[in-house]
Amino acid sequence: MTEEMIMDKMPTKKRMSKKTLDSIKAYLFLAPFLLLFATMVIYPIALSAKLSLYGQRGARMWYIGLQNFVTLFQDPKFWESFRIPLFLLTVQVPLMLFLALLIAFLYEKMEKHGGGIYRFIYYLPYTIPGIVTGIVWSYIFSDSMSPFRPVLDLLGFSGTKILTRPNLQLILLLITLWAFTGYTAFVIYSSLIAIPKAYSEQAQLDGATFWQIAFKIKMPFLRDVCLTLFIFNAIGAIQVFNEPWMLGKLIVLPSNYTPAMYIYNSAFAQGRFTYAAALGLILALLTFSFSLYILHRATKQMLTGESQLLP
Amino acid sequence: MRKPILTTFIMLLLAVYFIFPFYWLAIGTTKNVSQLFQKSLLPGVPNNFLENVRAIFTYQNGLFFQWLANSFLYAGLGALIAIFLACMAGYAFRRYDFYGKKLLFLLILGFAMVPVFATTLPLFMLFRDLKLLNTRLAVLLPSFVHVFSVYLMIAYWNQVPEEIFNAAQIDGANDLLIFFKIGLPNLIPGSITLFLLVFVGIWNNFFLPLVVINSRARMPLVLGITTITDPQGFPVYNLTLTSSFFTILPLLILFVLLQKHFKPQLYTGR
Amino acid sequence: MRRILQIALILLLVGSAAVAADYYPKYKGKPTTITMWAWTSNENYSIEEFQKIYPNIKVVWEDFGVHYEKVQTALSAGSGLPDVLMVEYSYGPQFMDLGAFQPINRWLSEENFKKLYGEAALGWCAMDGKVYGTPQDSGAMAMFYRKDLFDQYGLTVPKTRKEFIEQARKFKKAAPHLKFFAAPIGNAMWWIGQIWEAGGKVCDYADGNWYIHFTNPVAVEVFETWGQWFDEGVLDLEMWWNADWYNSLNEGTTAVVEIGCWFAEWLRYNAPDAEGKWRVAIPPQWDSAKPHNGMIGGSGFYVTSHCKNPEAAAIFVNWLNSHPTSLKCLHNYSNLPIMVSTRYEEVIDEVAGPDAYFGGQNICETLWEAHQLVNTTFVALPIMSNVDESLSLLIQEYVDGKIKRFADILPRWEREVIKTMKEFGYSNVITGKLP
Repeated sequence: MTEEMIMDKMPTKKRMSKKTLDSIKAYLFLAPFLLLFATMVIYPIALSAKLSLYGQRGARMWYIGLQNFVTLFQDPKFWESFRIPLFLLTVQVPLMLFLALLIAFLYEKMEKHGGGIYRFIYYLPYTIPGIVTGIVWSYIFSDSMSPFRPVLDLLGFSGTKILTRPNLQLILLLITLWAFTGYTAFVIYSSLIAIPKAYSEQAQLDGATFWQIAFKIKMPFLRDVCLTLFIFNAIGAIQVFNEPWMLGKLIVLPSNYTPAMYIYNSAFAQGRFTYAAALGLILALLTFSFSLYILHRATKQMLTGESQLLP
Repeated sequence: MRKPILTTFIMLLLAVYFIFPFYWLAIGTTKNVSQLFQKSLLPGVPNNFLENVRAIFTYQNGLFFQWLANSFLYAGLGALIAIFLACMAGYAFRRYDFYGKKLLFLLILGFAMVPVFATTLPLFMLFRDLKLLNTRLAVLLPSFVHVFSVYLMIAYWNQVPEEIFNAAQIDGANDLLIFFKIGLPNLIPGSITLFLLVFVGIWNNFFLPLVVINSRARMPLVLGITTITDPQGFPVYNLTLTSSFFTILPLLILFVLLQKHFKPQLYTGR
Repeated sequence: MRRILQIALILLLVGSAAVAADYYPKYKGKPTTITMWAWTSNENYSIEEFQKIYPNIKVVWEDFGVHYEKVQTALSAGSGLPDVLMVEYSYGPQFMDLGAFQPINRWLSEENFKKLYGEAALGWCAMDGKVYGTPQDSGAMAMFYRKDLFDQYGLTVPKTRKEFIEQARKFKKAAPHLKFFAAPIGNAMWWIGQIWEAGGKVCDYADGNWYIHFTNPVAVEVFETWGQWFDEGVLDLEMWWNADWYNSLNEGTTAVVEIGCWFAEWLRYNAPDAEGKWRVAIPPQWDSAKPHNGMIGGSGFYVTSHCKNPEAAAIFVNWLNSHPTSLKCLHNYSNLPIMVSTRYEEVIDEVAGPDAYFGGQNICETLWEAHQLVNTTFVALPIMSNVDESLSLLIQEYVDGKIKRFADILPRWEREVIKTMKEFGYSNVITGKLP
């Protein structure tokens, strides 16, 4: 199996070109990964594409061409499901990036005053499962367990409920900010400390304040990482599932509250596999187009031998 | 340098926001249902922590420990194999100029961000055909493929200086030997970071087991705890909270112990 | 003399064995194992007893809560169902229609099934003349009320709907901070149960066609009446089964819950603080001259189409839900209203009695009476989860003030349901009338 054995068997005269040999070796190293990659990632997508062309009742399926996609684009529930991702994309992600930037600068400012502790604490929420995040926050906001309830009662809002559909967007905002801001700030901070000190030192000599240096001089260096973070979070936003899934146990939520929930409910609550496959493909396509910029950058980096995705 | 008071104040305020749910969860484990409904921010009086723990640990003949073991199996073995495979793949990209290299790279990276919501349903059908539904392999096999790790592994391998490989080659070491003896030691720090990343990712993965596992005995913790019910199938809030606490405890311990290896990686984490 | 007695005994034994054999045939196949999904845990003791009588059939019970999503998934996938499945009556038609079950009349004649469960109850487990399973517990509506609150505010237990709302007004006036009763936001079967209680229905299945008529006079009247009560402010609307609801039952901020009779067991487990305070009564009647009752919930045990040994499964589901030994086991463990089988009468004296949680009331008798009042039956639609979801969203809109009149929900609900039936590919739908 080793390359050595293959080489031994080759008569020296007919020894193949270096590239062919390298290719054999490379693919031997790649084989285990590629095999699993093909069966666990590529094949499912191909199967999805096939399924999406079928109609279905129970376990019976028949070919219907692109009918599922026609239905899908006319399905108001499909379009409605993007309401939450759009909200997250336009409100939560920009807000979070802004907050994370500020926090990253504050980390820098707190460098000599125990900044590490804060980085640690803020990062914690990112490490715990989305389901636990969902459980804990949904209980915190449920009117019968909420520690905010007594406060609201005291302020004279005893009649207003906390966990209602109109409030849910705000609640989701608080939860997602909680879960991802610390992580985002950490990533930005990592880029921030990589900026050569020379730039800020010169500005400091010229009498610029901390925040002037932060926004005028350091910001341009952070543009790339912010853009990348924005894209990753956009992808996260169209896939949001766990938090609303848990909240849905405490409040009436439609099965199409988010695209991921609509896929799950179509496939596994209503048994409409082929329709769900079409939905999944659209979601995959959206994700892919969002990630094009990152792919472009990553390829460039690999080809130029640059080593880190992080600047 | 003088202590920045305003900054410290803001940081403390934010820390309260980030810590609060953890605190609330921790005091939640000390309460029974009636105490939870009293909405106090102090631990339950009398303290029901031991009661809750006993209820969780003895629930359905120790089902909780089975979930815990499953989580360790899925996350531990899954991450180990995923990283090893990624490491080999990364080595191929680093060392060889092979046919289809750029295309393969694009293909792998292009599929790095395929949402699980698009692949899980067809995976379900694949496992049905392979008779793997409701087996531990159905959770493990997809976990072995962590596409993003390949990308990071290429980056890690790129950091290993060319001279090391050349020197080894001149000494007559073959490629496999170079991979294991020369290469791997250089990758250990990066691999630990990556292992933690993948481990936590699998530990927290809820959707895949939700779909492919039916038997409670094979569920990981994150899924198991959402199935804790009373004899008529309704949720028991204090037990859900207590088991949530024990679900994140291993992660928190890991996080504290290996703090320096937890480096943020850009990667979709939702 | 002694010999004669012995012969008599033998004759007696043979005779009873013959009768029993009619209902509970011998298992002739090879030793086998059947799997069952059920979310209640009281079957364990029955299984133990069952295996003593049928040592060649091993029953493995698996529980992961309400499992409809798993069932639906396995069904679409074409494999993965267990041998025996617990399903609520309202979800039975959906799965029967999708081919989730296989008929079991081969092992026991329809006649015997009818004798054991009664024609109406068997209707929940059969379709187009094929029997797919056996009914277990009753979902007959019952009115649970807080005796302490009733005493405190001088209320009487209402027998009619008119008395019901009068008591609600009286209560609300005296205790505006408490709730008399909160109807569910959503829970289609509860609302259909209300209409059922008034002697009506909204859908049915007959001769290969699905009938949908939500806007019939009885249904409209029920919705209009409840709507008036909500507008008046004496009754509330709430999402059920979540923490807030659960809390209000435990704390005693709600005086009445009208719900399926299995709720007795739920209260006992989930509202331990309220021990001794709850009582049960027959639901208030719309027309006391013609008493009626409806159901919410209640489940049957069906043999699935993926089952490889339907004979063993059929024997098990029948024994489980009708044999007195099993009925006693089911009761002793959880006191659920396992009262659908006609053989329940053989054990009622043994299982019924004063219940400490309900202040010594003999609730089994009341619930049994409530169950007897369920005297009409119909078939639920095969898309119950969608029927449920659209009603939840519509009632939520009413609560949020987007729908002004409560009764306006009915026609919109009907439209949604008809649309979904079409979307799911049902062409055999008849609207605007019932069979």
